[in-house]
Amino acid sequence: MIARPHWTTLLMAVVASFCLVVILFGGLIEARLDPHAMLQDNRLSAPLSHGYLLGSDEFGRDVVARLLAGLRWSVSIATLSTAIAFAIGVTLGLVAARRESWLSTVLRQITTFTQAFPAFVLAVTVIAILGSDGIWSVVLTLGLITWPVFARVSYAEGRAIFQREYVLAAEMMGMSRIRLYLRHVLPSLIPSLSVLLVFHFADMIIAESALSFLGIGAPLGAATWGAMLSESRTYMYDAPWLLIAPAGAIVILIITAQLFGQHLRERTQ
Amino acid sequence: MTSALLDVQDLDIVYGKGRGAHRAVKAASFQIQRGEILAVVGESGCGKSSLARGVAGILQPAAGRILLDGAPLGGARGRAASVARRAVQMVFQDPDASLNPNHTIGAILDEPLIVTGFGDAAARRARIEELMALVRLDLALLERRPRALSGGQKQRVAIARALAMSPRLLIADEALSALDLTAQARMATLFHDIRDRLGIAILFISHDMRMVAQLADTVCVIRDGEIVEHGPTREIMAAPRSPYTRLLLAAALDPKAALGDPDLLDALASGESEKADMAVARLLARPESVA
Repeated sequence: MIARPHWTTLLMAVVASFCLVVILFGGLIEARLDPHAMLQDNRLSAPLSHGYLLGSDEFGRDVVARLLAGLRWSVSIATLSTAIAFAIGVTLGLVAARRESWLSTVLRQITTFTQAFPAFVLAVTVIAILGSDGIWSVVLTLGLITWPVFARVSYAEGRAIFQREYVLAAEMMGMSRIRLYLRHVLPSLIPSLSVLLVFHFADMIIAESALSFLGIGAPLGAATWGAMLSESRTYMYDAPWLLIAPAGAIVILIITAQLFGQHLRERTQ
Repeated sequence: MTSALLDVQDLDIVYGKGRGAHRAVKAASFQIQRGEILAVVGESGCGKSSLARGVAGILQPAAGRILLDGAPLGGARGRAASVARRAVQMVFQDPDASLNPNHTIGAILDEPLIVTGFGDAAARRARIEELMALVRLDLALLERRPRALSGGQKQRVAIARALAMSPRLLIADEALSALDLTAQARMATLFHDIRDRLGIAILFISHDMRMVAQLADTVCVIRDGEIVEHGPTREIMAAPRSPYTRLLLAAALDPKAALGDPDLLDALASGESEKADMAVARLLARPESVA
């Protein structure tokens, strides 16, 4: 007998599939639902009126179209910045974990510093200094600032893994480093790193939304959830859907990511 | 040029640096001949595992030289060093930790053969079957993962993996201590068999004098990182020169009868010199308990 899926599993499946469809077919969707198309006659239309499912904003732009465009933006930035942080952090963490060296000392200092200093404040400062001209400046800033999270976990777990006797036996065989990492070290890190990846992704969604809320990161006029939230403040009482829609989207995506992370943690442990 | 297979000269193993440094092995020197089983014996924390790990290349010696067939083992770096090191393989103490839990036994035994470029898949399979027969394991185990095996079976797989590298020296670091008495006896027979059939030398690390007496040709007794007695097993068992060796022997045979007070053994282990000397003195007064 097949077990009935739990509601959290259903939520994860629905949200993940939805995100995937929006990411993969974003161009096609935007051709039908243009997030920038303005209809002055339909300004601040309520949900389910004038053909708008979730209403329209002060310029008569479709909220659904802007939510979908914002989803593409947020998920793309969160995915790419997490990938960059993962690649740098895991590589440096594992190299430093293999042998105690100057790299281990430097890495410990960097991770201590970043633990003490809020990453978001650092991101705001860097983007403010370097300027923001599209997706890559945000991706690189978030990725380059948050890699110590992965480095810390990879270093701590890597130290223990390199002391495991089957890894010592593999080293005594004269196995190449690449084979050693791919066959013995990385697979042992999968449980903790996969959970960390998901939680980091959720953090990056929040960080990106906060940056665009402050008006840094996304180009002016871009449809992002943070910008939508920021713009909605003026019409909070007259058009609450402008606030509820992006806030609800952020909450659903974060809760789904957190649930998926917890699910992974339970499964891998 | 030395004729010994392994020649360890004034080996020092030091943990840490500066004031906190601990010298775990102090100027240890010994030789192992081809086909010889040499046991390094001592109580827990005496430095015998550090010595084994130094010889195996896992720990970097602070001083001294290790020669294998006359060639230094510690000097070279990189690929050349790793190829030279393949002649020395190790079986570890914990059978649960020495095999990758995610791999099948077949994959575990295939790995050293792939690393050494042993041949195609058919040749490797034949070699794996040969190794399984050598360590007396059923071929059906090849498809299983380590968690499905007993402690003794896991240690046999670890031995087979080490033998797949065709080593000249096999180091067994407390390889029997996690096993029950029956499994220990079977494994001791297996080590003899491996030595007799393959002619490889074995460095056997143990705290168990009885097992050492059963297995080794020669014995090094180590205390606080120093070798206090070294010689043929029969001679040392019959007439130990060092009081510490006598104590170890007595403790192995019948600690209560030998010492009268089992707390003195703990005193010895804790390093309280006054009590330890009392234990040795009491033991020396009753030589019949050693014999």
